[in-house]
Amino acid sequence: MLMLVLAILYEEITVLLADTATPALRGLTAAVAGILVATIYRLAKPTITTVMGVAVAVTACAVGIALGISPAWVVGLE
Amino acid sequence: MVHARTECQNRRVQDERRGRATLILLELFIYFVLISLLAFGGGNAVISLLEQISVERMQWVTPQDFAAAIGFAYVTPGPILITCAFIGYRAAGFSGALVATVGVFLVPWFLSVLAAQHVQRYIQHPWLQGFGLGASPAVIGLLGITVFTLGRYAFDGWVYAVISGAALGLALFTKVSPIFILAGGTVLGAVAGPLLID
Repeated sequence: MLMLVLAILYEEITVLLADTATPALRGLTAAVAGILVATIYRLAKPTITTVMGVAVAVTACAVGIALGISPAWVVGLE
Repeated sequence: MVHARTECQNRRVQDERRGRATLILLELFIYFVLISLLAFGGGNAVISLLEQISVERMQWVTPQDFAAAIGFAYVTPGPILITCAFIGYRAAGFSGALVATVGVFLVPWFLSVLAAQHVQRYIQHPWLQGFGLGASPAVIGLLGITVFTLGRYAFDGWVYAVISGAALGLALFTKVSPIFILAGGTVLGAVAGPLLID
C-alpha cells in the first residue's frame, strides 16, 4: 500500500516538477547504485569463496553487459 | 449515417484500448510469476532480471523509474520485490499494481503454505543444491549489470559519482539507514545537479 502511495506521488511530482525532479532522481539513482554495490559486496562475501566463484560472477556480469543475454539464461547456464 | 460511422469507429478504438490494457495486465502477470519463480535466494537475486524485463524488454518503466522503485523498496518495510507494485502501477495504473503484486507473490505463497514439507524435501536434492551453488555467484555478477545500467543513466557528472561513492561508503561502513542515504542522494542531486549544468 505504501509502495502504491509512493508510486502515485512519484508520478505527480515527476509531471509537476520535471525540471527539479530530473537532477533529484539522478541523485537518487546514484545513491541506489551505491547501495546496490554495497549489497553485492555483502552477498558476495559469504557466497563467493573460491576462484571459480569469482570467475562465474565476473563472467555472468561481462556476458550480460557485452551480449545483453537475459539474466535468466546466464543463471541457467552457470 | 456519418454519426453512426463515427460511433462505430469510437467503439472500435475503445475496444482496441481495452484489448491492449488487458494484454499489458496479462504480460505483467506472466512476467512477474516468472520472476518470482527465479527468485532463489531472495528478492536481491532477481533485481537484474526485473530490470531487464521491465526496462529493456517490455519498457514498462524508464531506468530512472526503476531506480526510484528500488529506492522506494529500500525505504519501505517488506521484501524488495514489492517494487513490482510500483512497476505495475507505472505500466497500467491500479489494476497493473494489483496484478503485478499478485503475480509476484502468488507462487511463493502457494508453495510455502500448501506444500512446505514437500518443497523442503526437494530443496535438499543434490541437483537443486548444485544449482544453488552455481547460481549464487552468477546472480551476484548479474547485479553488476543493474549497477552498470543505472550508473550509465545517473552518472551525468562528477557530482553523481560522488553521491554514489558516498552512498556506498555509508552503506558499507556505517549503520546509517538506507532511507537517509537515499534522501541525502535525492537532495544533493536536486541542489548540485542544476549547478553542474550551469
